[in-house]
Amino acid sequence: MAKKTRRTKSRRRAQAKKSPSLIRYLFWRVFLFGLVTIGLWVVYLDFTVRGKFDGKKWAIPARVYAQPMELYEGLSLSAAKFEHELRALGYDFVGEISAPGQVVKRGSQYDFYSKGFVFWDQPELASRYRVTFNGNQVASLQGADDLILRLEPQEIGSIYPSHGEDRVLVSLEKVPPLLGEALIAVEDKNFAHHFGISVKGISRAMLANVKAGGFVQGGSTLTQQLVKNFYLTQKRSLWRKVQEAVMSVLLELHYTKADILEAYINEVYLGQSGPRSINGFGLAAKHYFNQPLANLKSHQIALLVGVVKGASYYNPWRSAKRATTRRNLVLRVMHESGLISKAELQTSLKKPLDIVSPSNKQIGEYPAFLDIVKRQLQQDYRSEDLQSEGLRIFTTLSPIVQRETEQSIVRQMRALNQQSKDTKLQAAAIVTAVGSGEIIAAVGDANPRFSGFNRVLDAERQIGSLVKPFVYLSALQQPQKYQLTSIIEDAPLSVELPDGSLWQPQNYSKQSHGFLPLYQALAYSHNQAAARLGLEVGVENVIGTLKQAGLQKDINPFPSLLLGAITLTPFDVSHLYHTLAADGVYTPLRAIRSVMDATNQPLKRYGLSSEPRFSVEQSHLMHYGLQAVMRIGTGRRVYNTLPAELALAGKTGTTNDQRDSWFAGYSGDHLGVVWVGNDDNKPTVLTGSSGALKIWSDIFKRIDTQSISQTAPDTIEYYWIDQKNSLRSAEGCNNAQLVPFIEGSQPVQKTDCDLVSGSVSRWFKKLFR
Amino acid sequence: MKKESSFPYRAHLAITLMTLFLISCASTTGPVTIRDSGGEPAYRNSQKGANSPSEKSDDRTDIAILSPVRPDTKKTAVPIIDRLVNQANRQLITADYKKAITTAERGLRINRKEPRLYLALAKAYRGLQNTRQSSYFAKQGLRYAQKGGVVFSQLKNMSN
Repeated sequence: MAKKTRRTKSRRRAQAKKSPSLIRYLFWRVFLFGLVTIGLWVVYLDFTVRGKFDGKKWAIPARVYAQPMELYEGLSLSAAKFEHELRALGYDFVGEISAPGQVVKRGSQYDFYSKGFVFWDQPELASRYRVTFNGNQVASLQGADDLILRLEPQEIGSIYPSHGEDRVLVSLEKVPPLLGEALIAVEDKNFAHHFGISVKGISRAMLANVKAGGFVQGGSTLTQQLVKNFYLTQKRSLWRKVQEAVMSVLLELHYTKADILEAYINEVYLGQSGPRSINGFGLAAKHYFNQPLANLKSHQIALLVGVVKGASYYNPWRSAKRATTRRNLVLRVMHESGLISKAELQTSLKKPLDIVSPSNKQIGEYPAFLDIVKRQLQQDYRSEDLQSEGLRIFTTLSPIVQRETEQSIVRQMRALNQQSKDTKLQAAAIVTAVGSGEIIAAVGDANPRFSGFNRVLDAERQIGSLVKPFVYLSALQQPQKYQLTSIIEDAPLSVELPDGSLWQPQNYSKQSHGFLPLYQALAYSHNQAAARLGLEVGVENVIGTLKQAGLQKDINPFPSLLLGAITLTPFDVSHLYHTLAADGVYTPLRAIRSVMDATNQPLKRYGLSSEPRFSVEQSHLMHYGLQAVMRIGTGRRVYNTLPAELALAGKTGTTNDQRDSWFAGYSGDHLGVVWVGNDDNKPTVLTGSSGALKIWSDIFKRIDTQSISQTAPDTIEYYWIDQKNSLRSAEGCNNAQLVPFIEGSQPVQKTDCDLVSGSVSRWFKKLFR
Repeated sequence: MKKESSFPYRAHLAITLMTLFLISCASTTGPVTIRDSGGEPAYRNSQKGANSPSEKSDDRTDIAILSPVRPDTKKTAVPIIDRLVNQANRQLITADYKKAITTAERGLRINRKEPRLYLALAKAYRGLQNTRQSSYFAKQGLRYAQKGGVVFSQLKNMSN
């Protein structure tokens, strides 16, 4: 027992002797482990810092441009529209031109210094031009070496990654020196001297925070701010602060101050435009002032520098007073730092914010059109490339026509919604240039700026009577059997369907109209006449005609198809009607002209491709039939607002229970398709004529457009026809109507002429017959 | 001595009336059949201010008589088209087919019915070995070319 006690004591003594060395040993082990861990962590951070900074720093979104305005002598364009375009492009109206981007206006003469732009086919340098207008026409153009003067296209949007960051990269040499200096003066006075972190700054901030009992001041240097935005999250924690400090030191170790400043200028968050975040001063200059960064003046630079502190808080559109106070504070700091003179300070303080008006904020404001562009691009490019490779997309959008289309929709929908009372109507419109198939305007919502469900592409609705021209065209493809004056019957009919049910279409008025010429049945949109004619020529033939016109989808040959029981989008309808408008030539509609990579190398051109699908004679007859719709039929309301001498063609469409109101119509230059209805397919109080046509008329009233050419092909002859019996008549006879016929298909039999009385000249004519 | 007129007063009157008669007859449209070689029939709007129509319109009294009016004289030939045609042709000569296509398309955006531009497109696509598209453009150009002209015959050859 005593022996055991002795042994225990000696062990304890030995242990007591050993403990300091064990502690020391453990301490060093932990210390070394910690050191190695920290070392590894620093190596990891260093790897992270260099990996991202050396590589591709940002995903550069694709930039999307509208079509450029092209000027040439003889162009039909008003001075007001030209001036609007210049303002939209950010041109400054000045007394004397001294730099690119400036205009001098003297009456109807405009002298301007273009900004220069790299187009898909060639770069165009900044040059001086003189454009003189005579009425609504470009009378003379001086200074253009090329045949046509192209203005820079408006940038209409970008295709950015899902995280929403958008930016326009600028290199430091292209940044106005004042911007960099002002940024340093306001955000980090000691930038040139610190090594990433400022002990003085941190101490000052800590003191202020302790005094305030919370976080009121940050002591971050520009480098720390860059690290926070570029590598870390916005979360405020001590651990993140430590990481930020270490990474800032590492960044300063590897890179020059110039590299860091350039990265900061391109990285910093400076605002929000819907879902899109405005990053970097390059894009911010466009966002706030619609100017390139290099063109900004002192007071504009001061505003941008001021916004760095809080883009939302100092949003100049929302809080103009607050933004002005902040800008003026920055201006004073700039003066105290010797960056601007006292005189410049005084002048700048008096200046307004000079930001673009909310209505002129263009970027990202054409959601329906951009959606079409994106979907067409996705056929050729991966989404990642579109969002990150800095591609330049040149589209077909006409800002002038787009603006008029948007305004017409807003204006007319206000009135239509008042009529509909209990429902909130929706609308979509698409305008296309006839011949080229270029989509020049698209609106996918009653609120044109709403970016969501794009009804132009996605609203599949029954088209109603819009299908009828293709029923009639199917008949006119048999000229020996059917002509525009062929008498057809509008009378009740009953067709037994495969399931044993009966199809008994009715007219809108619930009345039948008996026998009438084919073109009148089309003009008045009589259902029973169209159904009878369609059954005569065959539903399969009508489907064939629709496919010839550009229909892509497969449809079942049900008789109800003849009255429009087929669901199509406004985009699909545009394809069909474009073939009619373009004299029977099918052209795939397109929204893109060309794509270039970030280094301005052309990647792909989307050229015109077309295929004649209907004969020129059939097309001429259809032009006539659809003009009759506008002159005497369901579309005649159009001439309440449009000039009588403008020859237009089109067709109204109304579906069962007035669920859809359609209008598709064209001039010589433009095709417009408009839809109005309820998203939930509830009935409306509108017909095609009282709904969609009103919007269409409003658009066409406001755009420069030409008549449909009345020049007939050699194989078409016009004859006077008696409208009652469709026999040959003569000019001056009662009911005589001049109608085109494919050579040899005209009626031979003549009718008695009941002369229109009271006309001396007609009497003379009769003498000569 | 006053010389006596060889024509009596009545003869003067008869000739004047005859002349007026002939002038007024000559200014009329002529025969019933109208071949559209510049006459370019169109509709006269007689519905301006008319009551708003609807799809249910079945009132035959509303039917307006569609009558020919003078052709649209506003659209005049734009000299720029000639210059673009020349430019496209120069580019074709140097086998710069892609540029010729760009030039021709630019011209067609101004006047989509200019047959010489379709001819340039047809030639350019043939140069690029795309005979199908070349033929389509030639066929399209034929629609707008004057029958019997040089452009017409060239387009005709290329449309096959």
